[in-house]
Amino acid sequence: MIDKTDEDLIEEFQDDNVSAYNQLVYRYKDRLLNYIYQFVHDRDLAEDLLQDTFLKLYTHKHSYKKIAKFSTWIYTIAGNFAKTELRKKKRRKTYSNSELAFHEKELIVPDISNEPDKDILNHSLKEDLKECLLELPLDFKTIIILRDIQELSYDEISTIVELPLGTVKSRINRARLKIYECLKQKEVV
Amino acid sequence: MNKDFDAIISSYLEGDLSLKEQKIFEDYMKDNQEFSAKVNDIKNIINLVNQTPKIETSKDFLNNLESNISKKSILNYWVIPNFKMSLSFTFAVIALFFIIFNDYNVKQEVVADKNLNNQSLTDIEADTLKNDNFLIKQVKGQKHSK
Repeated sequence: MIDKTDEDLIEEFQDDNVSAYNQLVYRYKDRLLNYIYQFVHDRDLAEDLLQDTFLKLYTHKHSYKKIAKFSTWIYTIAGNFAKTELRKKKRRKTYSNSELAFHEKELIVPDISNEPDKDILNHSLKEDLKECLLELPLDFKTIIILRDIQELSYDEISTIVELPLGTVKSRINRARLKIYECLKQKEVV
Repeated sequence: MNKDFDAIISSYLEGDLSLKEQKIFEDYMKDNQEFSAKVNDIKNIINLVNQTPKIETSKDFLNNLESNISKKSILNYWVIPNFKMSLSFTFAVIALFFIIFNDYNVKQEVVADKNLNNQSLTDIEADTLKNDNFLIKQVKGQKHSK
């Protein structure tokens, strides 16, 4: 049996077939969760934002027009929720940082003393990479997540971020170079 | 020159270059060990980013979604239509009130006009009577003087 395409399913859902909606949720829940998580780095918050994404799909099903791929549409919705949350987080961070100056709170360093050597190295590299990804400007980060983590095509990314294909390709290259430079500064590469 | 090659590292790694461009790129890598190492590092970075640990939705996720949808549905199919209905009803009552009030005002104006007309007639009659009375008095006065 040939699986229905996402576009077939959303069309069925637009005709009030709730089972089609459920199939779309099953198809996208984990990848969208990972996509959102890369922005907010908080699992519970990422799940809440994913709930918002699927609720929007449910309530705004007719906003989807057949001219676009369903994946690009749903990624755009999820990305918008994540970026809005990120902006809110940044505002809160600015506020709490100014509070930190008053209270001079201690920095909590994670204790990794019980981990084996190889794991420490791996852990350190992953942490450095995570930091470098966090340091990327939002536009670059979005593109690198979509390409290197979500493995979307250049065409799909171009539609989601609303940029020409050439710009997307050049930004991906520049983002990778930025990560490389960042890791080099940390003397990892 | 190095910057030009930097700009096409991803295209090379993803096989986007033409055969001719690929040959030029590889020749440059052969002559430049540092650049070659850089390309290799970027290739490893792509793999590393791709291996970022994946997370899965919690067990409660679908139940929570279902519950959120139910809440939303209640809001959409019950609260909002009721609200719309009450809004329409209120609007209808207000409109009706204005129609009735306007009609009442018109009637009041007609009555007022009628009263005014009646008043005018009475005034005219009174004036006529006054004039008649004045004429009678004049005639009587003339008779007395005779």
